[in-house]
Amino acid sequence: MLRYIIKRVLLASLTITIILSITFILVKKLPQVVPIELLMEDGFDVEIWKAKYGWDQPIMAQYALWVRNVIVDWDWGISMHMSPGNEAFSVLSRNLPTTMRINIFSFLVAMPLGFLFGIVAALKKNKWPDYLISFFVIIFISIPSFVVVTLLMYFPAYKWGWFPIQFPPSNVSTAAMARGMVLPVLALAFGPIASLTRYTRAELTEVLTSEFLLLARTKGLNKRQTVLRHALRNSMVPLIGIVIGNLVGIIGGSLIIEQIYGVNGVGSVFLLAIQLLDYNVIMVSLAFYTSIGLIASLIVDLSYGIVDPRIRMGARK
Amino acid sequence: MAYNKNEKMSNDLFHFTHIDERILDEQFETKPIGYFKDALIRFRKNKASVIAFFILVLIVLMAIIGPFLNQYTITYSNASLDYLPPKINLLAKLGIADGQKIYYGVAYSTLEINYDLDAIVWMSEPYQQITVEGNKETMRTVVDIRVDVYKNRFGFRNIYAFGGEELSKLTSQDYYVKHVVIEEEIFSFIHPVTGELIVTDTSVYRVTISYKDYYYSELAKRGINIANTDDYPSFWFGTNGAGFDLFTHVWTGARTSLLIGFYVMLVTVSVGVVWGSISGYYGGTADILMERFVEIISGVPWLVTMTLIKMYADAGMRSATPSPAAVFFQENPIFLIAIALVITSWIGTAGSVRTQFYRYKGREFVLASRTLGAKDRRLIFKHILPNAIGPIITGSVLIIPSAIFTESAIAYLNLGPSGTIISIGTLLSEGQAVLTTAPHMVMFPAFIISALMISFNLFGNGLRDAFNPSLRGVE
Repeated sequence: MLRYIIKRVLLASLTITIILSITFILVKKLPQVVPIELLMEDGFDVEIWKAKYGWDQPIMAQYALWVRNVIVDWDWGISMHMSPGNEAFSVLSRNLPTTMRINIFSFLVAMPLGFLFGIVAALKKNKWPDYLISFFVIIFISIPSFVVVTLLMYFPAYKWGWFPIQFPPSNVSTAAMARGMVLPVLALAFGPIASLTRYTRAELTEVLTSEFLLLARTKGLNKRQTVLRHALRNSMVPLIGIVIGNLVGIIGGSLIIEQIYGVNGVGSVFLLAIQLLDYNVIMVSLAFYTSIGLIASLIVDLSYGIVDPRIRMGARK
Repeated sequence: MAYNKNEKMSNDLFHFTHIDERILDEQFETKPIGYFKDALIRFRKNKASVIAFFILVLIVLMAIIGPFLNQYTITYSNASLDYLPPKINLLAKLGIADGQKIYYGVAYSTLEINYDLDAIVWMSEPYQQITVEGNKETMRTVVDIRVDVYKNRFGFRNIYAFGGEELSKLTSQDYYVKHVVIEEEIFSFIHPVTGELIVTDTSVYRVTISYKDYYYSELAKRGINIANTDDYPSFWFGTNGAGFDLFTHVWTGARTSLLIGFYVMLVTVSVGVVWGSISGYYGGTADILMERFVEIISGVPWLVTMTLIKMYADAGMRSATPSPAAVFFQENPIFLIAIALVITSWIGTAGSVRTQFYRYKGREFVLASRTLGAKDRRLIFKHILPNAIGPIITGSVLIIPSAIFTESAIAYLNLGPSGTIISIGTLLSEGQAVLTTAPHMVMFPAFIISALMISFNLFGNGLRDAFNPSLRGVE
């Protein structure tokens, strides 16, 4: 197991390194827009940066400096257009709490509901609750989240006036903030609820037909006891991975929902950086999203082996 | 009766049967059921998938012929006809898609001077609207006004737009407002802020505003009969901000989105099959190296590729001497999006093909063929690959909706190459900006992409169950 973990972690780091290196070089090959005059007017000492980041050197030398800065000082370069002179990483990280807050709430909404619907559907298999739930599952798995958030913004928010139509700025009262968070939280939750329901249903139906459950029933346990103590616990094993994957996804958040609803999270920083061609912020955002994706898939794979020792990931024949 | 061992049996006790007949294998009365026919039978049993298939066929058909179904072309635009709501003459009598638009809560006093609200009929019930700013509350009487936007635009602005002659004489005095008090009632409500009970008497008005005869005669001189709204052209899905016919654009957009999905599928299947076959058939070092490569590639998010592609495409367009490639992609921006999607999409197909090769390459029928001298190419394409056809078909069908989804997401985030591309995604993001004033611009593309997604997923699931019944129920 340890061998496997080390192997996976090394491979993931290698992947991140390769992707980021290629991205860095490709970004640097683009025509650069360094507003040196503007930065100097703002009172920054441009010469120091020039030496530190090697702006006047060939690309490969800049790359070496960049790798050194990131690894030694955790310095991802400076933002030049969005918030001139500030560190690119801090530009991104200061919007992280908003993104995380919305995603944590949607996680807390989605997980219990997903399990609940999945369990109901599995227990009432091929009866009307199952059909109803399966119907909504296929709808919410298929309909893109941006369509869902658009409908939510039009009907409950605009037509009926229940919620604000834009995400409130951070200085409003807690009550107003709570109201403003309902729509993005809902929009982010629908997809995970649907997919978790689907997986829970599939896993639980499989366990419910297994022989050890029949044994439990013949030994005198009632249906409730067999479901709660035997079926549910065993069906949870494969679902842990999905839950953990969602948990990691919290940090990444959803770019589109943030963009549509005007949430000032990580996604909006990234999109603004692309518009303004603020290359260092773009780099740090891409690094952020790439690592989130890789870490999520890594943790999901590893969790299967840890939760259920019968699964030997990467085992030889 | 005891059996006598020594009894002799004469030869004439024996005679040949069937000696006059040739005995052959009897032909089956039933028709043989092949792999595809078997899958088709199973697929037909899944009603939801069959319905989804027909919806898909309908959408694809509309994407092909839809843009030609009305008199507006893809380039037709009339800036004076912007943001028209949908109008379908057949349905107008039922009150749906009648080209009318409700302006919610228009302050009563502004009614007379608002030019946008000219050709107005129509019911409105004044109500109290309370706005709170700081500690100050203002209450005003407002009405919801239903406006026939078509009558308004064609009767008024269009003459200006087409005829070139300004009807400057038309001022607010030229039409009159008639209110009829229908009933008076007293109602009470709890004030939302202070909590006190407010009792107010109000009246329900029927507001009718009409043009003076003068205006009608001016119109009649130009050969336009304002009385009959059916005579005006109607835009079935309404128009967008630049006055383009949305019906034409929505189906053109659906075509673009489907085409992107189709291109992505084409490349995915061809690359995936070749890659998976080589990796699975030869195994060993080649397989290990190819797998490591796949693992690295699969870590690349489409966000990264799309961002780089967008930045390069934009830089290429800005440069003084654009390269031939830049010019090509500027003219065909959908290929840029397809490229961004293709980079990782083939991995799934390659994986399933590889698995099938591992499963079948050691089987006896392959060994038999190899013993008879079959070359690698024959073994791969003739003997092993056909076993992977089910997963390949299922996978390739499911690639299309995910490509359409990603394309829309890219358009929504403005990450697509800056160019004129009409797709479901660009229509959606265009409509998103004017969601409150022109909701029809979002609703039609949103409906079509949802229908596409749902039916593609149902159809794909049905296919998967049909080709591989053992997977049924496993999501």
